[in-house]
Formats: sequence, C-alpha cells, structure tokens
Amino acid sequence: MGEIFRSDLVWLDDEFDSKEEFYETIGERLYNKGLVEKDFGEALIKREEVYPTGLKTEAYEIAIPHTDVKYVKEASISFVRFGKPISYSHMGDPEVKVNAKFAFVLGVKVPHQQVEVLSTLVALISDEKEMSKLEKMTSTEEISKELNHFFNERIDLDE
Amino acid sequence: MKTYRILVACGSGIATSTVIATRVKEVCESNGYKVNVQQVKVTEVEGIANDFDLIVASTRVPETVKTPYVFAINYLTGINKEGVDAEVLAELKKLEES
Repeated sequence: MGEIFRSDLVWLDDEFDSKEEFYETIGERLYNKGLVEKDFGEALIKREEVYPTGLKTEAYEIAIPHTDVKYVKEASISFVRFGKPISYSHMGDPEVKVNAKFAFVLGVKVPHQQVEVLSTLVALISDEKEMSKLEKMTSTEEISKELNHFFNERIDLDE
Repeated sequence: MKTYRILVACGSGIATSTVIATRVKEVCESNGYKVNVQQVKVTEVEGIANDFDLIVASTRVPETVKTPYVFAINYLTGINKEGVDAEVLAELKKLEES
C-alpha cells in the first residue's frame, strides 16, 4: 500500500465562488489524473443538494464531499484549502450553515478496506493542533507529508 | 443470547456510515451485546427499517420510520462521542427489557 496523500492532490488557497464551481473543477482535475469517472464532479453536486457534507468540529468548519463508488476509479483523498470559505449545509442538519475552510474530497472505492483511513480522517478533523498546522503550511509537499505522517502513525499497515 | 440487528445509514451508504458502523459495533460488543450491523443509504431506510431493532444515522430519518433511532453526527464531528455511545446502549437496554 502506498502513501494515502499525494502532493499533487493537495490544493492550497483555491478560490471558488460556489460549491458547484469547486466540484466541477475538482472533478476535472481528478478525471485528468485517471482517478474518477468524467461525471464525478456532477455526482458530487447532485449528492450535495440532497445530502450535504459540511461538518463543524469544536474548532473547524470543513466539508467531506464524496459520492457513489461507481464514479470512482481509484481510491484517493484530495485536500483542498480554500482561499475564501465556501458556504455549506451541515450533514447532520441542513438548516445549519457551515463556512468550510477546508475540504477533504473522498474517492471511496471499497468502503470496508478504507475503514481505518476514514476513522483516522474523523480523528484528524477534530484534532485542533493538527488542523492548525494544515491551516498554516505553505507547500503542497509539506502538507501531504504531514498528513501521511498523521495517518501512518495511527494506521497499522501490517494488519 | 439475542443478536440485535442495527441499521447504519448515511447519505451515500459508503463513507460516514462506515465510520459510524465501526464505532457502533465496538461499543456494543465491548458492552456485551451481540450485534449484526448493516450499512445503507438513508433513502433505503424507510423500506427496510422494520427488519431492524435499531437505526443509527448521520442524518435525520423519515418520521414514518418507527424503529428506535439514534442520531450519530457527533461520531463524525468528535463533539461528545460518548453521549452517542450512551444513547445507543440505552436503546439496546430498552430492547433487552421489552
């Protein structure tokens, strides 16, 4: 198993005027890398309308966009830090607005094989210290390295 | 000993429900309950809810669903996860006593 995060799947201080614009862009980027089907971005938009993916932890507001496995060719997690926050609805209660500063775009292919990765992601987003590092770092290499370190420490790859 | 059937639901049935299902299974088993956990999309809940003893979901389920239900978004946000654990166990205790 290779590293979970790749520096070419980290985007920093990206500005989008809407979720739709963000999803179209990320869909195209991941499609060009051969990681998703052509309509991944559109599938993210449709899913977001019905089941939003915004989350609020104690300290951070984020989004974890994802959609059906059929739109995913290869498992991946992209990290996007927005130049200006994007307005989301909360996954648990659509009435609650979330000003997402980050998005972890999940390309889930085989859910049960990614249990530990998903659980570690949940641990990460509520880890204030770690999230503040991701807020400040300035290079994509630095961020993918930090994320891989955080995940590798918590996931026993020999299992 | 009875095996409780637990339905775990989220929007896509793949990501957040995987995290919730893992936690629910751990909590139940470490408290001595035998459980069978199945993951679905929340749109599928209404049709199959009657076959389950308990529903745990990251979103609201339709009001027509009469199966006991625990709202588990806190497993994802990390805010008071233990409160959700306690609710799940309280529901199982009720089922046990009924």
